[in-house]
Amino acid sequence: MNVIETRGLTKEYRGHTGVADLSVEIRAGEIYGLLGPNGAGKTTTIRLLVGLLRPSGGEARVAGHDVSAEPVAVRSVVGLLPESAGFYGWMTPVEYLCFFADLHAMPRGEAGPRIEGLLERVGLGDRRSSPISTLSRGMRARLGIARAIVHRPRVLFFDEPTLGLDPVGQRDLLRLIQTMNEDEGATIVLSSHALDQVGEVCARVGIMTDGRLVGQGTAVELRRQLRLAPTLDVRVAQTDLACRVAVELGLYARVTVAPPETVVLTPRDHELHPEILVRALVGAGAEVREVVVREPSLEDVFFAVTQPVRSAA
Amino acid sequence: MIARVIGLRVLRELAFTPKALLWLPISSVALSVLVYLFLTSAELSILDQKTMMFMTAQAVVLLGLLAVTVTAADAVAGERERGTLEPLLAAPVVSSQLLGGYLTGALAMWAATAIISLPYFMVVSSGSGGFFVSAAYFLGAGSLLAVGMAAWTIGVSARVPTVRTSLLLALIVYAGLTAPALLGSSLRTNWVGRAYDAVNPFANVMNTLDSVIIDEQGFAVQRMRLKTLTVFAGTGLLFGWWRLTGVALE
Repeated sequence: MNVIETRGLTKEYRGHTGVADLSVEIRAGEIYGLLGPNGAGKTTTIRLLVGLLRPSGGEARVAGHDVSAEPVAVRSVVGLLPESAGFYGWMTPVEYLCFFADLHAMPRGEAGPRIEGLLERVGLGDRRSSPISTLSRGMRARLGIARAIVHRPRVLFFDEPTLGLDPVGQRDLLRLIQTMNEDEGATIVLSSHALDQVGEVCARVGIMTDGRLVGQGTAVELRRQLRLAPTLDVRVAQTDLACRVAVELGLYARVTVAPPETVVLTPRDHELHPEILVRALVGAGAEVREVVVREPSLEDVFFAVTQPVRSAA
Repeated sequence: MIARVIGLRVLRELAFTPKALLWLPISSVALSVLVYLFLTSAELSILDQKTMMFMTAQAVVLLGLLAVTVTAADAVAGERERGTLEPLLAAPVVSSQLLGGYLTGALAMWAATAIISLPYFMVVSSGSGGFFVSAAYFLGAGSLLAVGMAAWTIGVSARVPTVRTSLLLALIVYAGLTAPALLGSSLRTNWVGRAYDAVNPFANVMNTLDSVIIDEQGFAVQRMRLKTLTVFAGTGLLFGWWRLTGVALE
């Protein structure tokens, strides 16, 4: 069952298109990654789906509600963690969550235990009475997640949630998002330009650039659609020699060096021919240390999808 | 219910921030100095008691309106600048609830200034027998002015990108309303001055207080001015509601 459905969703500003003709379907309970460079239209898409912006064209339904006709109903069933969200620094985490629970008209008897439980789950149980202004950036990010889910939304939108966090904070936050998805059963739309993070947690991704959705599916599906071949990464002491040998073999479309001592080979016909290569390298006197077959990453998919569009633009 | 939740949050924010807490002692000191001068200065103490009452009421309205203007200018623009607006708008909140919440905060500043001023006004009007009527008029007319000013300013604050712009625009309007009315009756000798005097809500409050306190005129004389103030407050509420409707992130 689809929780989010858009058809030809468009948002135009004066002389500028924020989102163009977006058609997407997101299933209940999945974590969907929205990828794209800065200015691709990810934040605009999220704001349209939350009912914070009015579409210029097309239609979108979130949890069965039309975002244009019923924006308040949409906002009652979604949770949003905006990019660089601010906090009321003078409040404590408990007061902050109570405020948002009240805005969603949650009964006090239900909100109290829910807030206590959430603060424990996001690791802020011992800081429940500290002013938010004294919390670290990572703690505030976790409080933001607790705020977004306090009213048990059916759909959650996280817009660049790991922005500005250190690597440990980023890892913890992504784990928390996965846990929330499993425990709460909410559908999650995660916008980011950190490709490795999205690849780690999202079942499917949509890639946007210049306001358009230019690719959609699982990483495997996208690789198949784009006919991206695996590469051969050869760790060798003499990279110049290895490059010369690989070019002379004529089996590889692209030969590049990844310093300090790896040569990356992209095959012409999906066949990597590692035995032929190693034999040729050893015959030429190269000291081969390691040969690895590497499947295309989400990053390779992202660049393959976005770069032609950017070049055309 | 939701307007009350937002209103309580705004009130608590005012109570926790120095800018709002400082306003109360500042108002108190300004009124203390004014009343002290009325009672002790050789030149000012020869003023008629009714004139002193009128000038005290005028000072209270000026101070209260300034507090309302500054608080309302910060309402939406301040939330936007501090990044707290988007999470708030992502909740199922409609524009009338937002307006109600922000109005609560702005009008609390007027109420606090008015309450602080009452003892001073009582001292100045002591023995005149006109305290209750005068206080009722300055609180009533002043409140209509405060509602209108707050609502118009919140409406402006909803569509400007920064607090600085919002505050600048609001203070220009504040000066435009108060300065001509304070410059004296000489400006009202031509039709332009008289027309501006008739539509200017601040001038309407001043003329009402002048009429009630100094000329001791009754309600029938004040009816037209109070109607003008009600229209100012009503159009302000409509403007604020319209500006807050649905498109605060556009």
